Amino acid sequence: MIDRVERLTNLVALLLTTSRPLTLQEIADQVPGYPEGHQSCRRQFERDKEMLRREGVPITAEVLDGEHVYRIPPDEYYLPEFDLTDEERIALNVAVAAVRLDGGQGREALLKLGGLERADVPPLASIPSLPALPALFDAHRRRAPATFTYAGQERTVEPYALALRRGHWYVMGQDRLREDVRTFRVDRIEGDVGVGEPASYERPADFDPDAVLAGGDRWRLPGDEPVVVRVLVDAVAAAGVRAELGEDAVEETRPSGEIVVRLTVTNRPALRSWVVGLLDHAEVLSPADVRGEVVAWLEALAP
Amino acid sequence: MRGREDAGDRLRRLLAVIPWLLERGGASVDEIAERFDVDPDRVVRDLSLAGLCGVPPFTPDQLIDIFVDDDGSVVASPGPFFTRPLRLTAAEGFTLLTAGRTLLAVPGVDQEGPLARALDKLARALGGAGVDVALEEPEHLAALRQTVDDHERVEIEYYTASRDEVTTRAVDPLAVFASEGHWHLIAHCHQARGERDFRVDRVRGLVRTGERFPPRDTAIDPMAPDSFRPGAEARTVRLRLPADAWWVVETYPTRKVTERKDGRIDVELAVSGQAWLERLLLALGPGAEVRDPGDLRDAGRQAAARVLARYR
Repeated sequence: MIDRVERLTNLVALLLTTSRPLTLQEIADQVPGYPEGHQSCRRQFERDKEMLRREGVPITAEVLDGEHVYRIPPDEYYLPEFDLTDEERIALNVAVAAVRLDGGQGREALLKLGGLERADVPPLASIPSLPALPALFDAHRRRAPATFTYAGQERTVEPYALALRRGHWYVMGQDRLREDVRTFRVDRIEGDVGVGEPASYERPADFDPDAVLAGGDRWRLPGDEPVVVRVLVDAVAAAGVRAELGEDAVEETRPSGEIVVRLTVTNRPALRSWVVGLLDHAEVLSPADVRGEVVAWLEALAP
Repeated sequence: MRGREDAGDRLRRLLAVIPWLLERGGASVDEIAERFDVDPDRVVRDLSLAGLCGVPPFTPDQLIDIFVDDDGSVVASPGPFFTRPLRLTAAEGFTLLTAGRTLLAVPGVDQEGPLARALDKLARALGGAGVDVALEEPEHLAALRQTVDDHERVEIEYYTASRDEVTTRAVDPLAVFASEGHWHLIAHCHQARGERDFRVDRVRGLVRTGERFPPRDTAIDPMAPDSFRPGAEARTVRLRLPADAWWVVETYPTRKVTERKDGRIDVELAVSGQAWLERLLLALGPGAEVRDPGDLRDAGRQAAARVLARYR
């Protein structure tokens, strides 16, 4: 009785080194351990093929002269040479030990890169993981379009970047339907991500995820006239607001610790939610109509 | 990965160990066991098996050239196959790049060192793909990480979001880590007389006392989700939301969500403090109601009145 791992190893060796794709019969003749009898042999081969594919071994199947033939293209099987020094390998081990990614395959990856190095590092960060991420990454690296359902609609996107900002994952790229660059929150993708034809688009050379994210910021809605709003924030909330909006938004810092921030707004409901969310630590200074809107909103709550 | 393994696990490991051995010419069973995280007897069994594998006619030049010696060493020579490991899967490549970029995003980590170089090589090998990670950089992060290493007691001015107030307290910093988009400090708080989880971005001021405390481990698992960490008392609140407020259900961990006939939405939420509830109610506006508990029914109106005082 041949050990299954022995048969699988022989199968991989054969399909990797064969000069032409092989039929099931040729495989059964050259790999010890396949049962006699066409049906059971085919069944066993299908199970083996399934297992290999699950492990990431790229078995191709095509039809040649009416027969199914199989091989493993070496350039798709082998990890490309990229010459990591020992120091660099250890650095990757440290990173995998220090950063936890749920469902991450860091250990499996390191085994392929020369095994595990002891890395006595306390966990430093935990990164959210989402089922859609590996598929989006696969699409991104192969320059293949990604298809997914978002807010109930099917979208097809050419991923230019995958970015983690403030604890949320974003995928940014050319939306084929809208014919424009769009940003999607990965945790709002519903269901599976389909990966299309590789090498079907080019990634722009200087794509800046932060420029795109800032552009779609929450104070703006397309079409409305922007309004400059000034908000006074007291000393208790000032540090948090400064960190959230950035130094550029701070117009004035007072000796008391209060700050005045300057925002360009078209999305007035979003601005209102944000200001009232600061409770009694903030008030709208100007313009008068925006200040009036906030007062009216509060008066409706406290008649 | 000890214990139960299936053929897939064993094969995956073989496809990684064989090229490594072929390149080095050999290694001891113990070294292989340690490096590839597997029991030594498994190593012997699987590598002995590998030595029998190859392609017809299975003559010595067509077999994987691995020999397991009685003295606990393994000798190997390169051959026609398994000269390199199997390529990384998308999930493996993604994990490595993300872990690496996250560590590089920690303030103070060398941007030009071996990790950065490793990630550049990896990204190139993966077709030029990248993962872009940015972590927040709160003002007192570096100082707090230093005090963890030094076991130094500090006094912090801390903004408690749930009570919407700033208080000063003496704490013994035990661990700093990033989770769910924010940096956290686990410290023994002398006021609370227990371990607490603090958000580093809410530390408004810090004074290093120069006093050392005896090193100890934290009982809190840094990677456990927020709900397992001690903090302000959580209360369950039942709200009735206007029909357009589905964003609340999507954004917060609501329970018992029911859509009523009139379109309004009943939800239950664990609320960790009055201020948090007030913020939510002010954002929702007059269409939202607190159904339960009774003492919070007026919370929205009271908060609105307080804020209005600024405008008058």
